[in-house]
This record gives sequence, C-alpha cells and structure tokens, in this order.
Amino acid sequence: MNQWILPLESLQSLAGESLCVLDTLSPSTLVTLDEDGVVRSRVLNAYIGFVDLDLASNAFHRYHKFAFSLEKLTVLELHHEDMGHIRHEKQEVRPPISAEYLFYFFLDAKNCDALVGDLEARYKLMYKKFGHRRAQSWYWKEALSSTGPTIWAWVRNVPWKKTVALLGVTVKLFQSMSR
Amino acid sequence: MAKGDNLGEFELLILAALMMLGQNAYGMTIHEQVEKLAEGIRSVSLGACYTTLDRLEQKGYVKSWFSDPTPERGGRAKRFFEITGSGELAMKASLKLSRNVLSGLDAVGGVA
Repeated sequence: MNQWILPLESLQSLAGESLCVLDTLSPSTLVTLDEDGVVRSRVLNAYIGFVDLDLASNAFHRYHKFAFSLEKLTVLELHHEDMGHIRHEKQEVRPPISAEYLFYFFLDAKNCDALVGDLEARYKLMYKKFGHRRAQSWYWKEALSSTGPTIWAWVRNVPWKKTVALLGVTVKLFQSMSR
Repeated sequence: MAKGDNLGEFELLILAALMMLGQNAYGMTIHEQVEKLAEGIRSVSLGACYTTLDRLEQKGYVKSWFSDPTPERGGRAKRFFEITGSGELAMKASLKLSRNVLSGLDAVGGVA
C-alpha cells in the first residue's frame, strides 16, 4: 500500500464536502491495528464517520499531523498515536440532555429555548476551558438551581380555580352516577 | 403609584442590570450582572432571572425580542430585553423610597 501525506492544496479541492475519517469510538468498529500501530479501515462502512472540511475556519489544519494514506480514495490510514486527537475533534460538545429535559416540563417554548441556549453556549465555553467534568457539573448545578424558580412560576400560573372547579364537577358527577 | 406597582428586591436588581447592559442585555449577561450586584447578599439562578423578566414584561416594565439562532447555542435564538419608560419610572420610585427610608434612619442614628 502506498503511503503519503496529503498536501493541503489537494484538500482544498474538497473544501465544503465531507471527508471520511475513522470512527474509533464506536464499539462496533471493525478497525484493525497493524504491528506498526497503523489503523486500517474501509471508507463508507458503518464505522466511518464524517468530518466537514471547513478551510475558512481553519478547522482542517488541526489534522495536519496525521499521516493520511489513500488507496483509490477508499482507504484511509492514520497512526495510532493520533487517535486521541481524532476522538477529540469528532466528539460533539453537548450538555447533559437529562438536565436540559427538566426545563421542557415547566417553561414555555420561548423561555425554554432562550434559557437552554444560554446554558448551552456557556457550557461549550466551560468545556473548552475546563474540560468535560467541570462543564457537566456546572451545567447540572445551574439546571437544578434554575428549576426551583421555574417550577414555582409554573405552579403560580396554573389556573387553580378552574382546576379545582373542574375536579369538583367531576367528583359530583361520579357520585351521582354511583348512586 | 398604585400599591401593586411596587418593585420587589429581585425585580429592582433585574431592572438595574438592564439599564447597565443597554443593548447587550440577554439571559446570560443579565444573570452575570445581577450576580455582581447581589454579590455576598443572595445567590441568583438563571431560571429566576427568566421568570422575573417574564413577570416584569407582563407588568409592562420590560420588552423583549429574539435574535437569529446561532450554532454555539445549539440553533437557538437569544432573547434580548430592554427596560421600558414605565420600568424606569417604577425603578426610580422604588429607589426614591429606599433613599427616604435610609435618610429617615440616618436621622435617628443610622443602621448598624
């Protein structure tokens, strides 16, 4: 198999398209590791992920250390020591969904979107600066402390008089039917 | 001013933050500003800011609008807030009341 490092100029022709890279995170991966620590895989199989080439934002330059090898444009190869880097690049930064879910119960759509958006933007900043764990614990803390006031506001907005009246009518109907 | 128009402590904090922030007043910046103002006195959550802003909007003290969605916010829009004329009046009345209380207390030796 021929090996060469892709020159950046050849990648520029692919700008805006998707380039296939190995997804070494998935447990169903069929990746094989050579004796010399080279990962082999076939493009367009289930274990291949996609990374958008975005030369304008300089995103591709992060991969310049990798030794890419292409064979008929279907096989992509890279050194094992670079896998951590790829994992980092590929992981989508997302706040804990279960914490976010709390807000969907008690907030109306416009407030929910705005609040969750604020938290997500800050979460991504925290993630970049302090890493996954701190960002997660910060998000949970903020989500839980925000839940109290939103639940309280939700309870206050429930039309209690109507609810109690409706319950009363239902009970009365049920009583008259059971007689 | 009617009795129901009085501002609570937290409402006053929010309105003050809005005045300080001007055009850049949205959830997170308001939260940060209020935290600065209330430092050492009370803790503030983002949810509390939103519920109070909603209440102030219902009272007509605040108006809000949405920006375009951005990717760093997961495709969600920012909700910007601005204090209205009646909001400013309510805040001034509330501050005047506080000043009166302070000067009244100062006259009898002040607060410890």
